[in-house]
Amino acid sequence: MIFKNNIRKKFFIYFLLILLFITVSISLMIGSYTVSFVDTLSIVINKLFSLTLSNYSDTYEVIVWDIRAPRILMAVFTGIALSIAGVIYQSIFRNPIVEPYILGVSSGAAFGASLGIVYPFFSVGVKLFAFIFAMLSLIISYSLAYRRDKTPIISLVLSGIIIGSIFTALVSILKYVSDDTQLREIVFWMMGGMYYSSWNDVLVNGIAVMTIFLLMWILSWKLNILSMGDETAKSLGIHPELYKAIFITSATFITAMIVSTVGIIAWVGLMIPHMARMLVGADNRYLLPTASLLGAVYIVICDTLARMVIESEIPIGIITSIIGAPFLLWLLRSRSGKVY
Amino acid sequence: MIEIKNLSFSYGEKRVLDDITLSMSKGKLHGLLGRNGSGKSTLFKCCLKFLKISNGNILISGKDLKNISIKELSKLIAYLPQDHEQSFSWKVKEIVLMGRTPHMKGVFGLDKDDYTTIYSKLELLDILDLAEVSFNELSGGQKQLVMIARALAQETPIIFLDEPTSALDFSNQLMIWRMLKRISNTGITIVVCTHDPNHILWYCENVIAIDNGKVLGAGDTATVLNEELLYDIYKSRYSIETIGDQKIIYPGSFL
Repeated sequence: MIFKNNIRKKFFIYFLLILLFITVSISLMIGSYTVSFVDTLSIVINKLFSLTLSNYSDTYEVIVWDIRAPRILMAVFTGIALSIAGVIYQSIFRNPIVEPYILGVSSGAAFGASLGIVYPFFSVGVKLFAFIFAMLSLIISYSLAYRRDKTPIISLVLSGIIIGSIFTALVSILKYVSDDTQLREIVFWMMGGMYYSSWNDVLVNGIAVMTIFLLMWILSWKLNILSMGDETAKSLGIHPELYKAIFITSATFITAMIVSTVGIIAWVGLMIPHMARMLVGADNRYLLPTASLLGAVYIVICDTLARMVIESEIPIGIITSIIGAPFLLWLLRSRSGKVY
Repeated sequence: MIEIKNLSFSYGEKRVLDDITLSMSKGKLHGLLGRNGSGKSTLFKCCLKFLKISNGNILISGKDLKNISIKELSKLIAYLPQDHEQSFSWKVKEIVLMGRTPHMKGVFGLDKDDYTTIYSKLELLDILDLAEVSFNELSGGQKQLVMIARALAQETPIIFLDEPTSALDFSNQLMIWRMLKRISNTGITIVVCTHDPNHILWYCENVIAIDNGKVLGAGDTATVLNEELLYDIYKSRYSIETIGDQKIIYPGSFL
């Protein structure tokens, strides 16, 4: 009886793995130029294993390997990162409508990036600035909420809101003093998109995201216990403060990494964990891989839509918000209090 | 089993537990009685290491609590908090499986034996048919039984329960107490914090009464739980009458 149920959960994980492979393959083929399946396959195999299957034009190689492949892989890692961050925040805060930006991380990142755009002479670059300020906002939120060996959730959420609004105000100041080109750049960055992704971004983010994913998966049973509350966790032999710090820092780290590379992509961290819970339930041992794969598939599809719906590209953040916000409404109204 | 010597605890300036000395013997059902804010929950929290004690000692099975790690303690005492609302849709068997955490081995740690254990505990409490049901869909009484099953799955010699019947209807209250009595008969030491002195009178072998952080009385329920003690606790008069062969506590005045 028990094992039959777990087989069903494993089936979903394998199914999503195949679905991700199919989605990525199709996304590589389609766009403003459609590249045939055979050509796409030949390019990928040639690049990965230096084997020539068939001849294809160099233009196709540039499109598939230099333009599409890095942004699609970046979409995969973005989906994984934002989804596991969502799962972790929701479990730790014991709140099913918490999303990864609660600690003011995104506002911190947005301020850092805007600073880098408006004052390029700092020369450390937009991404690094975004990352530094995302981590800074986490540290400030966390230390504001920390009292006598404890970090009460409500204090943490409140300090996150405070830090978030301070950084949002600072972004507004930067927008006010920036020139037209900079303003356009800030606005586009904040709407999110994969268009600037390079192979270097894929490598750096991929290593970070997959390392954190593995660590979180190994610790997933402890995440289950933490979602029962601090006292229960302690009575089951788990140090709540230590593991909360590990989980929150890891989730914020990958969120900051991703936000600093692709901008703000909202709602994914809220929507995907819920959908994954509908498939495999609340047990994080199954939920983490399911949400990761589902998130990856979702972002790849959204990014493909972003570059195909209209002639010029629309920011992916707009698409995830258009889909995500009504999803929350549906979730709250149709399930009448029954939360996944 | 549990020895408390000269235990004191303060929240800042406010002293909540004041020089408490107690002992709770093995395999018995102990009832902890006291008004709101008397220090009952604080006493629990000190024994469970949720709070750092400022003065005194607590010995669990002869070992000083200061030298027991959280991990070791989780194999000695299981704890049922008052509130166990779940934010997510956990299945009953998953909740009970969490009780196996102190015994986990390896990365994911739970093996077939753990599943066998939890199914035997569910069977013991007559709720095996609820294993696949969502916890949030259960009635109050069923939820409490599931939490007790989790505590049993922890396989500790001691179980602490914080007001396990406070949100239950009359018949479910008695059902839970009968179950606790059955479990204590198997040799497990149970300490229950409750607001109903009748429950202690009917089911507990031992009573501990606390007020203002001090012990008012402790020992064998039949001798210690009397009208004077009830007056000391609640500062008003209560009578203990015998109806048939059953004692019952009722207020001196209903007006």
